[in-house]
Amino acid sequence: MNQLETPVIRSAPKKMKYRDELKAYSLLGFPIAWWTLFFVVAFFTALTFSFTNVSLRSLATGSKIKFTLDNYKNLLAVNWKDFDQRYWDSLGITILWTVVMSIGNNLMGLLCAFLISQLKRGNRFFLALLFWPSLVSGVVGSDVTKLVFGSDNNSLANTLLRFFGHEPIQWLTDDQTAMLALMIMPFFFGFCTKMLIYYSSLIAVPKDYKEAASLDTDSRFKIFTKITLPLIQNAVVLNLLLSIIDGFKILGPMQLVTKGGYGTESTMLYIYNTAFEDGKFGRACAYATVLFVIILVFTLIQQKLSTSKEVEDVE
Amino acid sequence: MFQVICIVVLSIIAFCQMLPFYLKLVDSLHSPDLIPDSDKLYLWPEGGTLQNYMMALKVSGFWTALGNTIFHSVVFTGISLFIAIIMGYVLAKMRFRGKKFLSNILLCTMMVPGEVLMIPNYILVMNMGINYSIWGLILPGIVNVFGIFLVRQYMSNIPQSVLESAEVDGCNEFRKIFNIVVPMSKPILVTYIILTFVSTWNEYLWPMVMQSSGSTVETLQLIMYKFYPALGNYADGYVRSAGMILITIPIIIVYIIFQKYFLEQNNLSGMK
Repeated sequence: MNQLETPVIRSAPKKMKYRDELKAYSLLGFPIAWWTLFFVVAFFTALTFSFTNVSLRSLATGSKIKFTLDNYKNLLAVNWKDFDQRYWDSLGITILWTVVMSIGNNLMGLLCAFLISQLKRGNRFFLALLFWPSLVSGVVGSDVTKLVFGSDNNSLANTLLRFFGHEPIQWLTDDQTAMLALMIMPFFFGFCTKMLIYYSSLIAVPKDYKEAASLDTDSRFKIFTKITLPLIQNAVVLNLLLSIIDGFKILGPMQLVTKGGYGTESTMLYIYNTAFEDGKFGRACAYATVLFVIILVFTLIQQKLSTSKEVEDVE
Repeated sequence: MFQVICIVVLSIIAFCQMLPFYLKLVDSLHSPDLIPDSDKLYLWPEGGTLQNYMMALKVSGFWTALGNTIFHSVVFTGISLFIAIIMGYVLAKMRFRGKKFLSNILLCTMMVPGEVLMIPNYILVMNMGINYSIWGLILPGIVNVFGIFLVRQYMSNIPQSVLESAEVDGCNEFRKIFNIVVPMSKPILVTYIILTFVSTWNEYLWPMVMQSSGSTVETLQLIMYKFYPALGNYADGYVRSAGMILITIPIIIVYIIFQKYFLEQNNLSGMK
């Protein structure tokens, strides 16, 4: 800044040199400051909190905050008196959800995107038709889940079961089936954004490649697996990553449908309850930090995968 | 032949996707007096009446919540769009030292799930004293990094020469942004508006957190989630269904109006 104010003739080039910076940063100033407050400061606050026993009450009363490693001991030291089995159970449930959704959403998304890209007309119509469920809110979605998996004989799930000669099931109030009931609809229908990403990379695949391949073989499936799939590899990696990140953050269905009961407590829900039901902020921050590290590892793996492979970038 | 198979398969998937929501719609149209036959799946409303919708509209606080939700969605989308345009433009088109560093740091924060920051943000908002007003819902997230990169990606395809010629004509940065860059980026901005509007409209977690801090700001999602009008078991369910349909309708309308911008451009491919 000093260079700007010194009116020496020789500094004229310098003045020009910093003009761009001044302009850019004056435009960026407020957003960056805001972002620093709510992301950077918040992030490091969370990190600091995770080493303390800060709670909702101690914040309200202003009582002294103590430095402690107990939060992490709770998670990592099996022999520690307060070892938190519940966290690892919830992580197991989260991983189950993540794996199931990564597989289901990507397969369905790829299938739909592929079928739509093969259509001669009506592509947009089907895209629009298949995409809209992703706009439905979590609250509404959870209510629909409750309706479909209702415990009465006349709910959709039980009607189908009875049609196949099975006894009706108390879907949402049974440890065996509650998680299954939560996963079925997202498994089949949670593919909307994945489909859009697959579709846009599928239509970017040059036609000549497929035409050249179709001289050698008649099998559409073979062309798809040998030619198209390698070319959209980046989209596959991106979609898998998005599924994994979203999967680890899952909270909505568990919180809204079963309230975490019947073996459906996900990690994020456990963190939420620890923080806002029990008021144990420090502990919740430690839990969140561990979850963040897990997500970070997957992100880094994706970065590695999508840059190291020497594939022709279709985009 | 293959075309037909494609269409049939896609139609089946679309049908299965739609069926649960259709059942919800049927549920919302039942007559309040109906005691459902426990062995029968209702595919058509019994008694077919809009009475449940009338009941849902009379939920206490519905209109306030509607106002809050509209205000929240519109103002949040507006402010965050403005910031995304400015930052997207600066990061895409201006040359200055520290740009790469800044972009990288911003990109890094995209890896931090927002839920991890919920606790510190909660404390921040409480300390700022805005947790009792609707601004507590709006302000924390207005710098939307995902949106910034979505916009930046698109803007970086605008040729530099256009901007240079504007500069020769004496445009300052603001006029360059709003007279030249914004009209040229219309598709991505519409995409941004839809995505943000819809996700803000649907948000329930942060408002719920705010309520646990003593805020009384209701949104539609919250009141419908907590809504049990105590009309008796079945009637409650019907009115709830009607409420759920009601709060989804605006989203569907927005989607139908804007979907052509949204799906036509392959905007989302720039997401990485």
